[in-house]
Amino acid sequence: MGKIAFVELLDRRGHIRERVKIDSFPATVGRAYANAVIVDDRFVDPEHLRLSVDGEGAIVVEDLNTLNGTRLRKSRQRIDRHRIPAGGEAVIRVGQTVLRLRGDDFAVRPAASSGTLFEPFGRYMENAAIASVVFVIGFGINIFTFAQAIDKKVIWSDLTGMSLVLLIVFALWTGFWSFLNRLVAHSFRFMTHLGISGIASVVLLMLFTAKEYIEFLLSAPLGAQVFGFTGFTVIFSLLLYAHLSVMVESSGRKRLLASTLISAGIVGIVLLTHYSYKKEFSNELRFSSVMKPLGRKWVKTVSPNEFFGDLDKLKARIDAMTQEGPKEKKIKK
Amino acid sequence: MKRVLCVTFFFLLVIASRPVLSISEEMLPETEKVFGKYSDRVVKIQVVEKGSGAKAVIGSGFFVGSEGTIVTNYHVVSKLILHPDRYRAELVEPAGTVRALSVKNVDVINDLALVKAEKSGAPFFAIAAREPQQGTRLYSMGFPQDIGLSIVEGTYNGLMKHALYRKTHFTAPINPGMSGGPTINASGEVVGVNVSSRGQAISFLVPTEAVARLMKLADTAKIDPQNFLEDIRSQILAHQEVFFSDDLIRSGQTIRIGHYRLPGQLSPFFKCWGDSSHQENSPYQSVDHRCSTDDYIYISGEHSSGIMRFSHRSITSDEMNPFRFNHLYSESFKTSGHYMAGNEEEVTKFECKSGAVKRGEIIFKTAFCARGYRKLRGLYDVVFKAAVLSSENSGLETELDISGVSFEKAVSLTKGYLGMMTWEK
Repeated sequence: MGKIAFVELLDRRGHIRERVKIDSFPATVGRAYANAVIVDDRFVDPEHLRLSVDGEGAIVVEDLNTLNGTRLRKSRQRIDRHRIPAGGEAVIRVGQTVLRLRGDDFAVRPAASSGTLFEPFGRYMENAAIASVVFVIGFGINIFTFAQAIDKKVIWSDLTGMSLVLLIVFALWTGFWSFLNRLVAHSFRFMTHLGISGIASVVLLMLFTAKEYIEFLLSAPLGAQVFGFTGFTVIFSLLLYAHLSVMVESSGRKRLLASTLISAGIVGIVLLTHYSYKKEFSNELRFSSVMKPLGRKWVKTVSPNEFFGDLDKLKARIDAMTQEGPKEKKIKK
Repeated sequence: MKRVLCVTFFFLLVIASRPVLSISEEMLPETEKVFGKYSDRVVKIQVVEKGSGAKAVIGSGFFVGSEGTIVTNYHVVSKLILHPDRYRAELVEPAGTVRALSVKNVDVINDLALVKAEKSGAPFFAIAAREPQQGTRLYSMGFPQDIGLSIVEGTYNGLMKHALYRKTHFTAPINPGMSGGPTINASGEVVGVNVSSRGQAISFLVPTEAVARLMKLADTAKIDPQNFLEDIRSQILAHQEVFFSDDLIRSGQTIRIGHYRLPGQLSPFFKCWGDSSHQENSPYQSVDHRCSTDDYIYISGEHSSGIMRFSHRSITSDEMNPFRFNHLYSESFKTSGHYMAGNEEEVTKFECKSGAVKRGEIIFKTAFCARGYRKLRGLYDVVFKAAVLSSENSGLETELDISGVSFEKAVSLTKGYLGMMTWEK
């Protein structure tokens, strides 16, 4: 049985638009109807490429002395001849068309699990209408939550001003990802990224609320902070993962690893800044306490005797600081 | 006839000249006489930064003994006491002669210091045996703003009523630089030591009894000059036992705000003020009540001790939903209503403990924060904040600050303070 090859015409997102089976060699690719693979691109010659098989079973691609030439996808260099070894592939550009060539011996990846978190989610987000509705709902929840923090009579200009600021933040974030998307996949996919940002902002608000409730119910500011930072790392990783999933076709594991590393790095920098600031001397005192209207009966309480009787650790921490001695700056004489 | 005219003329001349001579002697302004007679007993004291050799502080002082013993304020020489390695003190005589000064003893509660110069035989002041009558004309001397020795006239207005630390109210403009200078009567007896002012010619003097006590103490119990800090610490701790006793809480008055009974004027030396806010563009109303001791113990330029302040704030709103109200309530709780000065050389940063304390039916969200004094170990500043948890759109928060107390005293006072709060129908 002879060699079988497949020529795949890819769209700008890298998805297959058309796949043509070649089982007879040599075969030609071009704009003319006499070709085995017809490419409807005015920058492609009527007879542009010739495909043949050499003695070792490799597919050989030859440019037929064309006007605009043939290039490998990521190269500007024209090629006259390119050899695809058995089991390999080549992505080449003719005119404005991207072709992928594979032999029937090309090894495909094992099946991906259909139960991954982002598969159905990603499918819905591909739909611009669904993505925009998701964003509008997320945006509304954000504005409603921020409006709860206004301590004066709310007027329309408060809400419009706040909306404008939030829109700019969303536009910058989504614009950044769309720009990256355009760079690597020839499309912006703005609405998809916007929908993802909208959902992430709501999830972050939920995390923040949960953190506040931990502080309120348990009176444990440190615990709440640990929860907050951990939760933020996870959610931010997932957010990056979602954006990357829209953008690139690398393996899910690689995307997740990259997202987690970036997220952990950002949180690490924030933590370092936070604690170096906290270590600095200040006369300003900010009490840690959150009051909520719900869940009052679940608040963990102690008696005055327990509260005031358990201040030894606090005193020990302060005494340790005084033992360090005054922080006088040594003046060189 | 000519002779008679001559005699008459001479007689008239004598008669006419007599009153003129008498005015120039008796009507000589008292201030001028006092200044002329006693100004050589007042000296300028300056604390110099050793590295640059420049003045860091200037103040005044006066001789109280023939062996060069000088009285001044503690706050004039505090830099030298707190940082002896970085500063030195000097006496500048009117002729410009500079002499080294050493500290003999301090009374930090009354802001006094006894310093000594290597100079004997200088004229010195006597200390008045008793307080003058209210309205007595007195003369204060010193070096205001380092522009030369000055004298100001004023009236004695008695000891301050309900003051935490005994001070004399003197109506005269005492300016910076005159601190530590003497205020004397027309006989040249010291009736007080210039210590502070509050604008509009309201000034304060340290009473002479404190000066006499310090001089006596310096004679009998000499303190190791290297160990002034320990002495200052002991003075503050001993002082707090008297003024911040548990009776303060037990016998203190209470006030009522809404349904809550709260600590009010705890003793006569607290000053209390109240106010309320009903602004048109505000969706909530607040009632504020604050009390504070009127005085403090000076420790350094940025740090004072012996102050007790507390405030209550009730917030209610008919317009806000419970979520919005509680956000406002939380934000209000987060920041301290009182500022506590201090720098890193003298105090640690604050460490806090948060919790929810249940007293009867009331649940308080609480935060107890404290910081320690680095040089005066065993003394702490404490800030306690509590807010009543409320499911309705009304809240009450309270804050208590105590500075320069032992940890145990602070805990005991704070606990008693919380215990004073009750709910009434």
